[in-house]
Amino acid sequence: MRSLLLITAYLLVHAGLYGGWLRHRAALRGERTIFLYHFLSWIISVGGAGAWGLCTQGLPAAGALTVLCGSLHGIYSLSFLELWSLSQGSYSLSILTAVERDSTLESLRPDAALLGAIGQQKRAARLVSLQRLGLLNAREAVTPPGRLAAALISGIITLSNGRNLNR
Amino acid sequence: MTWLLSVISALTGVILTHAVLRRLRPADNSVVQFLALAALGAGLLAWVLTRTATPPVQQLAALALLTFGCELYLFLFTFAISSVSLALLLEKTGRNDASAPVAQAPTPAARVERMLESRLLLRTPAGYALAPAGRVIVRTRQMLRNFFLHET
Repeated sequence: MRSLLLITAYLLVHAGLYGGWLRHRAALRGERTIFLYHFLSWIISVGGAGAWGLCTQGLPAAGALTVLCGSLHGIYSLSFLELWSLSQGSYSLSILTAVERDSTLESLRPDAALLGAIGQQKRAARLVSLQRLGLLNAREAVTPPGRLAAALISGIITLSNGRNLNR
Repeated sequence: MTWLLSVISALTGVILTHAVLRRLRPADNSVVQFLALAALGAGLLAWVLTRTATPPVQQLAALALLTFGCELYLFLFTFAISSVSLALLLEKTGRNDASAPVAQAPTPAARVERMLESRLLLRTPAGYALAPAGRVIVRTRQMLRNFFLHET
């Protein structure tokens, strides 16, 4: 239980540091830097938990402590980054916000130019993102890592019997 | 390391059962289906670990790992079906269904239909309006944007 309390305290300090100070710093407002803030913390905490477990409780418990710390930090970081990303630029949320902004009419036609414009902006921005990630090249052709990512995505969509909603 | 194998078995079981359930009841909410199965999987895992007298730290680690695995899979499959970037990538690799190609720009029609099904939007004679749940989501998003200091 002591380990659980220590890990929880570490995560609270990490979140508190962001909420109280780091979110006001321009450097922590980018996608890459906020990801690094979590990823580096994950590496440090998992390493620390493993080392502490080895020194105080032996190998089997150290393995479990490493997994416990990595998983709890993973749950926290994934939730945090998802909220960060969704609040920044989700297409569905942009549509909901566009409907809400039309307060004088209380409604929005499905074929409204505004929704189409959101889609156009999204497409342009995401093409640049895919190129920056190395999944598309400068001529918008798929690179080998892009093919691998597409195969993984297709596998997940097939497994969960879903279909991409952007069609 | 038996506890680790138990976690892998539980996670595989949850994902495969979800795949079967999606085919048996495709109209139901896939996220709710997955969450129910994940809760069931976690309960079964806790029962197995208690029965095998697994030490408390390993039990906690196993349950935390299963929860993280489930959250990651949930994130991946919701991201895969809703991401504009991934739709573009699939379009470029020709992996999208040829009978339903991606439009030149992502169209809102499928999203709007989905939001109507989820009761986030209401159909009105003039078009659409926010349902109470949609209004809560928009407010929450604004609160989060203020917290994260995203530019408006």
